[in-house]
Amino acid sequence: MKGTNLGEFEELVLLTVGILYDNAYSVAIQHELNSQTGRKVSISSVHAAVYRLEEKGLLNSRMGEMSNERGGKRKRLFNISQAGKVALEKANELRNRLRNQIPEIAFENLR
Amino acid sequence: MSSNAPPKLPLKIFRFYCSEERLEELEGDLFEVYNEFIQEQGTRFAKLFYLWIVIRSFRSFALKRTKMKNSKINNSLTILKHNLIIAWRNLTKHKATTAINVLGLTIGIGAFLAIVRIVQFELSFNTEIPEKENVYRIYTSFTGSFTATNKGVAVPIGPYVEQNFSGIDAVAYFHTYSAAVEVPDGEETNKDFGRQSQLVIADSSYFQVVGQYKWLAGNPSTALSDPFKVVLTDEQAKTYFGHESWLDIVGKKIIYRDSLNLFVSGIVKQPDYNTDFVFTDIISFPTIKNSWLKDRFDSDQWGNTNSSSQLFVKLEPNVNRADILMQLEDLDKHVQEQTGDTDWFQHYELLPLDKLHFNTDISTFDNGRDAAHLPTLLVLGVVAFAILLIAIFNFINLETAQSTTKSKEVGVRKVLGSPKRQLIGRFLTESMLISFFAVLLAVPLAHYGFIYFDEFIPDGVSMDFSDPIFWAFLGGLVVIVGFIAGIYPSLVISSYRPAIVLKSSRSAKGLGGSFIRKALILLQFLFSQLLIVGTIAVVWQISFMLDKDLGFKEDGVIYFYTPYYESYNKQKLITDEIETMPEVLDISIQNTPPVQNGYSTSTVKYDSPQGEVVTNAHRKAGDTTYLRFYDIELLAGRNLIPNDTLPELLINETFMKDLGFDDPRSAVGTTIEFNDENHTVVGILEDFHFRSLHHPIEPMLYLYEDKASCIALKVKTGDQLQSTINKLTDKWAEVYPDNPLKVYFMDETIERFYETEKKTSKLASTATGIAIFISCLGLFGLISHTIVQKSKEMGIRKVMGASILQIGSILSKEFILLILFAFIISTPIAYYFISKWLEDFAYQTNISWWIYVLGGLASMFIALASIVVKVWKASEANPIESLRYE
Repeated sequence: MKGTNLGEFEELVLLTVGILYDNAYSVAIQHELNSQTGRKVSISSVHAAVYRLEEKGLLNSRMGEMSNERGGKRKRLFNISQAGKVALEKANELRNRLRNQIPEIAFENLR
Repeated sequence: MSSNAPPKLPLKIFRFYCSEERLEELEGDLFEVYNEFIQEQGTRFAKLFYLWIVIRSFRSFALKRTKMKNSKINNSLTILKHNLIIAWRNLTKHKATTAINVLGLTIGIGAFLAIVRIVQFELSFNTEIPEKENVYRIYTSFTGSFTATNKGVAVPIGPYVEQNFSGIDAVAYFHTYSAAVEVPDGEETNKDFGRQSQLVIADSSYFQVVGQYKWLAGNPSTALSDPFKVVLTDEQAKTYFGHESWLDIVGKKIIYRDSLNLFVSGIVKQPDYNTDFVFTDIISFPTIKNSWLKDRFDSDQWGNTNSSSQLFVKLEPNVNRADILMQLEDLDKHVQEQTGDTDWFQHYELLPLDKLHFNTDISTFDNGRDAAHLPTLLVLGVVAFAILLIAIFNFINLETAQSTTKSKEVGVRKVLGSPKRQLIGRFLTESMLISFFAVLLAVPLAHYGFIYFDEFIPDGVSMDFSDPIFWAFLGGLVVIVGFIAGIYPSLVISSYRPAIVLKSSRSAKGLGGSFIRKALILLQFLFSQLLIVGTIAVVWQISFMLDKDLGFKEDGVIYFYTPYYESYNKQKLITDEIETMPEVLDISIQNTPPVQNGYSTSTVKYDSPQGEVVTNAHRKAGDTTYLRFYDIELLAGRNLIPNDTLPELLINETFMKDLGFDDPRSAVGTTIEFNDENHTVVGILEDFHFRSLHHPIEPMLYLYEDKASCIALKVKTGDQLQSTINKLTDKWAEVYPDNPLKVYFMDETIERFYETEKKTSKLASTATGIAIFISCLGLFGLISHTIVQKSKEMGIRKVMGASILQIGSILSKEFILLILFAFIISTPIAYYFISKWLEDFAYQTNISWWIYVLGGLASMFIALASIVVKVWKASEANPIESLRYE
């Protein structure tokens, strides 16, 4: 099955959705990413990522309330699914495990 | 916070491509981002930015495609893909059938493409000349003592029409001409361009009537108004002068026939569409009166009609054609008053420009392209469709015969819930695929066909691969052929009842289509037999015409013309030279050989009991050796004796009968007035054919003339011929160093009369070959199938003691019956068309009944030959092979 692995950007988006908890929709995710990472992330890249994550089953979504700010359009709110949580943990664990296997000597004499 | 609505156009674009499912949330997001951007950067950039994110969002998450997974279009795409795969598997599984199908269709479509291209090419002539609907040719037809037509008019007619006719916009009278051309390329030297045959002598009205030219240099209204001017077409200018600029070429000198010095006064662009006006050098009309051209073209004789003198008119728009025809009748009367001829009349006829290319009686121009024969084109078109139909019938036959093998597939599909529509689609896909491959292969076939059959395909026909219409035509052909060929078998196959086809273990027999199949085979063989008999008839008539005794001996006769503008002494010189050659058996000086392409006629008067009769007779002239040389028999009287005081002439038998005599002896001594002089008939000649056998023998007279330009020789044929001609060429070059020798062979001249018929016979036999081949392919496929179907039956019969012959006859009985049927139907149709075709000839061969039988037997024989191997194998097969699986 495709997409059991997380891409770097996908992982960031997934984490951001978690941070925003109940208010994770595309524009908010973009803002959070911009402020947290200092990158310039475009809205369409965020869109691409969240929908892909939803397709993979790592995100769940529901429609939010109407709001005037958005020209009367509802927003789609995302939250992490069980599978998303597992994927995050796996990625985290994998990274830690790999990090821990690096011998200290590898970092000595770095310039 | 105030919110600004995003710009309309990008929003519209976004709404157009975005899927409905996601539109609301995405549009909202974009709205939000847009408003944020306005606050950060201001409205001006925000609009651009909005467009930018709309463009950026054109990605899979937003696109409608994500939504269409279950839509109809997607579904049918899947089915199409599936159909293509299944069709491909099926085609590769039954390789032999597929090969037969594709081969048959390829040949059929290839022939169709080639013929359609030829027909289209011929039909395209002169269609694009501006104002062509107002342009007419005026030509001459003769009635009276015999009828004839001439594409030209007498020289005074043109000016007369110009002065006296009303309702005419422009009148162009011009002479077609050919001459050797030289262009000075240094102080003293000339570059020789050989004989140029597309010259015309015209004035500026020519360009008004034939409006196909664009002027590249020179003044259209004055370029031809002075003597010694010539206007060239762009191609010809390049030939003469290379790549000089048009303006530089104007004013340069060109020398025609050694002494006529003309100066270029203009250059016109020859159109790139098909036209019969392909003249390359347009010489100014006033040149005639100021040069030796006047001897040839400046005539005031109303009765002398030369085919090189042309008359074209452009009518005023909205002029009633009847008005012009009335004026032409007045012209007829005027001309008759001028000639004083009471038994032979000139009529002037109107021929619309769009018929110019199709009038085979008078053809286009001297040295011009041959006129296309419309009925031939029509027949060609019919043949093209017939061949295509035969190929399609083949396909239908094979498919319906094969349908039994597909019955299981249909059964299973139907049980699984496939609607009939989808099944039809499935089988149509297969036929479309075959049709696609066939068309793909047919294009190179047609292309190389043009090269192979070069000799009877008009010049300039080729496949125009750059033409989008051509490709659209091919695409259309794929669909149409695929559909016509596939729809019937698809309907038959898809209407099988699943319960029946799945229940019976043996392949379902007689599931339908057998009647149609028989009818189609019948039609195929009908076409083939018509073509066979037609071809035999054409070949028959041609060999009849070539073998017919023309009334004179042409064996070993060669002839050539001495230049008429050279002195007679030179001719005397070369004649004496030739007489010393041992290879030359006999020599004769004459005006015209017994047969030639053109003909000349003269007005003659004679007294009959009813009073004076004025008529027209063909005129031949030469020295006294003519009769001996050609072995023409004298029925009564004597040969001519040269003398200056008592002009004498010989007449032919037909003329004698026209004069009212039955007995040649009593006609001798009659006086005939000719050239304002009384001539005595001193001898009666046996009739001989001096024109092609399309025409009956007409009155002819023979005069004495020793200063004639045609020298005819009787030489030994065979290996010596070439050395004789070489020797002749050497002697010729000594006497006429400036003119090349052109030797004609009498038998070739005669054969050339029947060029059209020969082309017809070649085309007919090719078409016949193709039709028969495709039909036999079909038969071969069908018999293979029948044998598989009947293998058990044959096995049992063999076990019971049937002989090979009996089994063979059982297998081929059906086909033989069908061919017999086709024969019965085709015979009267063939008879009708052959007699129609033969009406063209004054002398017809006898098409006897056995030619039809021969045609029938031939098609029967070929059909049997194509199945005999298969049948033989099947009858020989060991019954165990077919029975042991029971």
